Amino acid sequence: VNVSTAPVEIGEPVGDVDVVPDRPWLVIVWNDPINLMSYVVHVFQKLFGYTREKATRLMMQVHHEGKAVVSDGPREKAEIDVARLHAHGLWATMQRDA
Amino acid sequence: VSPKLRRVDDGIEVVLEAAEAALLGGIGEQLRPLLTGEAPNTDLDPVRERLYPRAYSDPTEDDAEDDWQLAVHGDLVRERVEALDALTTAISGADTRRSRRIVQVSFEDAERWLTALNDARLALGTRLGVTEDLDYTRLPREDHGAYEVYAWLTYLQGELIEALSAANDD
Repeated sequence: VNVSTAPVEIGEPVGDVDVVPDRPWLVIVWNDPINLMSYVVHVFQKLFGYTREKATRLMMQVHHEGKAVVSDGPREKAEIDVARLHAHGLWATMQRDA
Repeated sequence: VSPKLRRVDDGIEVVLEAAEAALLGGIGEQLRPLLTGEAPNTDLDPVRERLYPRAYSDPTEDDAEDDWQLAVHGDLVRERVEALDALTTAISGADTRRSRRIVQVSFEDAERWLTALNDARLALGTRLGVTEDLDYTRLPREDHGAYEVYAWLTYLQGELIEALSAANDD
């Protein structure tokens, strides 16, 4: 956090917004105790066209590590992916890549 | 074990006992107001929060969250109510044979069944406080019936996924 008391010059960029405009958004699926493992695999295959192997690997990562990045891209794409995951009852959020 | 599922030419046939068909109809009646937000106390309800979570994990993105909710929430509600309707109308319109309902489910509708069954499990499981290592005997006695329903929905959803996967692998 910048605690400088110096006056900010109008027109100067402030903060780090859009300094790296291409930093992608990550779509994260979180573990939950209700969704069946087989259902999560099914949804990953259906929504993202992943092979069963890749979908299963991501599901196991969610299960064991509590979360997994299932897709990434620009903000608009991430918003669509999160909505489709929510439509299927998965607990998904999005955040900018660190 | 019931219900019985089997692969048919263009979908899956589900045979439900009369009590099971009635149970699914009743679940539909209870789930609908939770999906549409017409149930009372919706803004405090963890079930609603689980059915319609936030998209943005960062609280400083509240404006983007509001815009996103405004853009997609109506579609999310409509899609899930349509999925529930697909399940309940298929059952109520199915042939009855010796008191059993013989329900023909197309592959397309089977996807809607999965969504509706999952929403029902999310609602019931959240209310019961289901965890991965839940010992249901520790639930209060008055919740045992609801847990049995939850376990049966889990079984039905699992069987349906298995039938669909087998069809996809053909």
